[in-house]
Amino acid sequence: MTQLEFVNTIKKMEDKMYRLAKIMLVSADEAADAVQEVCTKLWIKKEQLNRIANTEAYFMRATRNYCLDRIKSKQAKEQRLDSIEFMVKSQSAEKQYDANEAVAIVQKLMQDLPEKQRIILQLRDVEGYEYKEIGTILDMNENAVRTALSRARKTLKNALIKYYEFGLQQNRRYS
Amino acid sequence: MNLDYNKIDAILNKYFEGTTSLAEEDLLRQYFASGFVADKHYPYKALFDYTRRAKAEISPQPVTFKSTNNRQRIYFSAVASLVLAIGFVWFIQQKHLPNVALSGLSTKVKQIEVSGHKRKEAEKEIKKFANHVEKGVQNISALSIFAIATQKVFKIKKSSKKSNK
Repeated sequence: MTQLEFVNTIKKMEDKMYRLAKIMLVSADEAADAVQEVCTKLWIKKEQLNRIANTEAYFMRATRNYCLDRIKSKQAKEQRLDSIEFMVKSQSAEKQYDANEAVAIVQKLMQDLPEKQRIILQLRDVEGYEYKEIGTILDMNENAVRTALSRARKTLKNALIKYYEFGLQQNRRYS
Repeated sequence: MNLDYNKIDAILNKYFEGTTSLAEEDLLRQYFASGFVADKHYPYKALFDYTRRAKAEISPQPVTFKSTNNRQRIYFSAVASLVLAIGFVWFIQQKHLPNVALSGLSTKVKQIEVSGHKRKEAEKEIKKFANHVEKGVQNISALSIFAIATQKVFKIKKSSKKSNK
């Protein structure tokens, strides 16, 4: 892969990589640093990238692997906890907007999902990858991807139904 | 948007089973963004709002390769400094070693020169001493002649005294 090809691929991919890193690391700064690091590592071995069939999947996989390493490190864990606390605190400030609150709740529910389910949901519903591509990125077969995705969506569905019903009950109580 | 809620129900069921196609999921996204969401579907709206918002999120800082260049620059400067330091030490050693050797040699030469000078002086002194000794020997020999003469005189005097007695 030439330098120009590499830079063009990065331009196309960096936002997707950032969003994946953010869903895994939570902290926006951590995610941006992770993307920078991954791109730097890929840049070093850009000549070898010609041999890879699906470059996009390879870049996403590299991002995911890097983030997993970061999560394993103690430092990343601490930052992750800080960010979750910040997000939970910030929800109260958003309560005045229903739509924003609902989105924040989904964001929180996403964080509570098992890591693999969270990544699969992100790759499918946000990035729009095919099941096969997700399988390539995560080194899983297509059926396992579908199963994990279904579990993740159902978990969110049930939580949202509960949340919505709770909201309706509160409204009835105050009306 | 032509809405068929039964169709939406069916796609939603497929969606939660993880069997929808990307096109069907796009249809769901359009439906939930339309503003014509049925009450029974409302709890799921937040899920599609979230994915739409998440998709719009972009990286706050574009990727640069500055850090790589910096790393390389730091690495190369470190190597260059090391090479310079080694070269400098080597140069100093090469410059000083012959001088030290030469200075050592010169001191030895000087010592030899000094010792040679001393030898000459000593030789002169020895020669002077030898001359003095020679003179002394000559004087002593003269004295011995004088002594013999005096002994002869004294013997004569002693014998005359004995004869007078």
